[in-house]
Amino acid sequence: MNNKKLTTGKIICGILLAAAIVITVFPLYLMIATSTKSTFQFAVNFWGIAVPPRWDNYSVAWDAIGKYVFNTIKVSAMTVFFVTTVSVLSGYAFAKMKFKGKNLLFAIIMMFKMLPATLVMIPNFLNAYKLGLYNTHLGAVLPLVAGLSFMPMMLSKSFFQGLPDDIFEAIRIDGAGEFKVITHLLIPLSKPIVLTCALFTFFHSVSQYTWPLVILRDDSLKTVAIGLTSFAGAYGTDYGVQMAAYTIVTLSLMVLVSLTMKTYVNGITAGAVKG
Amino acid sequence: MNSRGIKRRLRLSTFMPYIYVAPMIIFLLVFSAWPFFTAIKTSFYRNDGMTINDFIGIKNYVDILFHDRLFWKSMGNLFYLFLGMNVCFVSPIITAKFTYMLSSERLKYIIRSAFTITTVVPTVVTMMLWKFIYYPNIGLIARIAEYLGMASPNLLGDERTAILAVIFIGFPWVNGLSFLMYFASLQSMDESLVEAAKIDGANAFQQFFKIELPMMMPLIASFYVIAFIGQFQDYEKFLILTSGGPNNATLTPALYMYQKAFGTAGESEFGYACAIAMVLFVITFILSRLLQRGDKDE
Repeated sequence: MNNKKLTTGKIICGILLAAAIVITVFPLYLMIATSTKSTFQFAVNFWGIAVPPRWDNYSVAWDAIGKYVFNTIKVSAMTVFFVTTVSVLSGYAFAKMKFKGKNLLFAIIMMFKMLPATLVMIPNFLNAYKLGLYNTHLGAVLPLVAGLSFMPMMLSKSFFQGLPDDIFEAIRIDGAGEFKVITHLLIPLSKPIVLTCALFTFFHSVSQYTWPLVILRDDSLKTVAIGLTSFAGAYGTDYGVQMAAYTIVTLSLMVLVSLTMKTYVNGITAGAVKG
Repeated sequence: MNSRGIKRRLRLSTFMPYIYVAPMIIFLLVFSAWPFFTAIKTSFYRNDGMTINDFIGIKNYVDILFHDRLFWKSMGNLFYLFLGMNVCFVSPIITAKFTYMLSSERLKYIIRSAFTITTVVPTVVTMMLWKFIYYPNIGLIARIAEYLGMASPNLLGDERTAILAVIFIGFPWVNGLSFLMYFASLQSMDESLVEAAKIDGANAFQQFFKIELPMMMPLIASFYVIAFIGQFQDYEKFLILTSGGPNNATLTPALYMYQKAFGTAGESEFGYACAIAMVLFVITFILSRLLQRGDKDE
């Protein structure tokens, strides 16, 4: 193979690829660079990095969005708990268990997937009153669980389908009950897929905007996605502080995904590989 | 083990699968099926969520389809969104292929990681960043215009450019998740096929269009259906960036629905909003069925 040979085609590919990355990453650079600028530095130095950096922006930003961050952590943790439980259990059942009505149940679930979130949002809002979920964190969590569970359920289904049947049969022949199957086999084996589902759900949960916006009325309950927009209004022209707030949220998510990159990417792309 | 113990275990194991699937079903029943019927029912009412709840038959539907100029304007705006979607749809495929063609494994890993990292940026942050980029006199576009000696444009505030400006946010911006999927599917491809084609003298283009693209087709088709339906349903970015303005130039049907329900405090029209949601649902349902059928025929 003569991979080393540079053809015009390859150079064009390289340039386009570099352009795609630059355009994708540049707004993030702008965010981080602006986050340490004072209003004056911002006015005179738009493109570069602030010298000296004004770290104060971060403490100002944190004072404003800290409470929203804690709300988001609480809401997302609950979402992750529900979604991961729901999707890993059902994914396992559909992949590895034989039971009556299995295909029918799966078809029904897939049918619900066709129901757009937009359609059920308003009735969910009306029903939330009846269920006592309006203006509560649980109300921001529960109605989204089913919708967020589809993808993790498919991921866990294909994960468990990839495991050999023999090990499950072997442990059952040894007389293990369902409970023992769960504790001795399922939990140890499913660690990577649980982690993938949890991360996937966490990132999507943090990003939720419309539903928390309509269901949470009190400012003290609001999540950071909503907090950021109202905060941007309050800090009108101080772009340094605004960008510092965005950076706090975005960088923490980026650090999290970087630390778990391998499990995360392998987990979410496993389905694509099987095709 | 005595026979009764085995029997009990057998009985338990026949129930276990249902217990595992039950949470999913319960969530779907309470937060999807019930709301679905609530939506149908509410769409026949005039409902402000508080005191008014009158049955008015199909009046909401008649109003939407025959008397509501704004609804049709928002449907017209969808046309631009579809154009934009088709352009945006291609870029992750091409980017995945280009990345796959790189000879350095390390570089591939770095690029894949860079795109993975962008998938976790919350939508709100992306939108607020682009609002900043578009901001007249201050933002990035304004700076470039200034450098070129042009007047600072207000892309989001101008009726003629607003919708294009919102679409452009998705354009060169490679959708990280679909990039990852396409890239993984390229990497998992049977290399012997490509090698055989190379020996037969296939060039890079033939290799891509005759072998790799057809292999990725099921994945591409499912992403296309999702993206297509998304155009009808997704209004978050418009809500954050423009609230449908200026002069309803960026109003989409789903955003219109949202505004009818939550737009002005005290003037909620939940019945009308549910009827809009139902109209959208029927349209997307039929179109996605047609798309999927077309996909199967190939």
